[in-house]
Amino acid sequence: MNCSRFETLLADYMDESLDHRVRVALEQHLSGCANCSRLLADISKLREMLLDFPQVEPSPEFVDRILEKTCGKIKVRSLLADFVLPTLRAFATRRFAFATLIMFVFLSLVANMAGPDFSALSFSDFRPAALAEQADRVSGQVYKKWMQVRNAEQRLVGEMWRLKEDLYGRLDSHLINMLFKSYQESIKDKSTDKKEEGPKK
Amino acid sequence: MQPSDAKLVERCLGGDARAWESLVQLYGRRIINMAYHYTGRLDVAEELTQDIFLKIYQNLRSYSPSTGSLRNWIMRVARNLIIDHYRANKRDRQVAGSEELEVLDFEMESQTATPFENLYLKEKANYLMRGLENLTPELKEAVILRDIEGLSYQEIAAMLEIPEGTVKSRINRGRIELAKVLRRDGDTQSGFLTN
Repeated sequence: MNCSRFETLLADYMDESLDHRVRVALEQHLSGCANCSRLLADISKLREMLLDFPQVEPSPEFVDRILEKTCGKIKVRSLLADFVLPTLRAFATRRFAFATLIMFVFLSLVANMAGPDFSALSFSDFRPAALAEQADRVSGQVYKKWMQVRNAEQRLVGEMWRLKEDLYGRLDSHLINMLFKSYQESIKDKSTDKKEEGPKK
Repeated sequence: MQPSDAKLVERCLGGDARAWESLVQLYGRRIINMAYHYTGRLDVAEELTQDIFLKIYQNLRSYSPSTGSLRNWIMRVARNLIIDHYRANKRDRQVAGSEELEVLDFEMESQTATPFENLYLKEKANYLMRGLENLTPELKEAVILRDIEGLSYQEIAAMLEIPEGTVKSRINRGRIELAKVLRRDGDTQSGFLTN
């Protein structure tokens, strides 16, 4: 098989529609021909890229324009199909899902801190006055818990400062002691040196 | 012809706006995508699609079930208008003396992709489009219909009214030509094929 014959059979080879004998001959040619091997690799890659080519999703407004241009009628809009679903589709992103998850976790933590009992809810709990009272009570509880956390944090920070100061103080006194001792030793060494040198003179 | 197609055409001809609307919705996506892949410009594709539907609307009465399915008839009308536009556009460019390729305007902001991925997809689409521009209209059309639109050999043959063997041969030559053109035009710079 030569290169020209290989090129003629390429589409059938990629569709796997060649009979066994021709396929074997083509693969034998491929194993010995660098140009044809590269062409096959290029076309395989190109087909993958062409498959990923961008696709357009026509908007409802675009369909409206066609209807207006052709039969001159403007479509009566459906609330669900034309407004609700496209709006929901716009939110169907990974980023939005992640933000929702974070928000859910945060609200769960706040609800857990405030401690409302969801199992004991009754219809009367949803009256405006009851909701306002509940909101007031919950916000008071959240504030109280928040202050407790803040106080604990301040205590912790204060304790850390105290420990730090204490540690620095200990280090300072240790260093001063060490310096003082080494100074005393150096004086002692000098005086013994002088005594040893004296009789020689 | 499918029984649902026959009913749809009958209702459209009877002035049923809802039937016409469902026909537009049924084929609108496919037609705008075909126009988009030929032209590479969303605004031009939208304008062309509107013209195509106007032509279909005005000529629906001339559709005969004996010529084949409604789908093939609609896609044939669409394809003829797109090819006419493509040839006129190419002629205009040659008359204007511009040998440079048009900078293609692929608007493909994906909601899920990052800006970097969007840029990469856009680069890739423009790279392929520049290669396709170097093919003859017949080869370009065959590659678009098969490898981008994903039509079968049979569907392409019915749309273009040519034998399946000719379709296969055009697709094969189109792919080989495209690969060679892209290699020749320095793939080392873009690196799409070498990667």
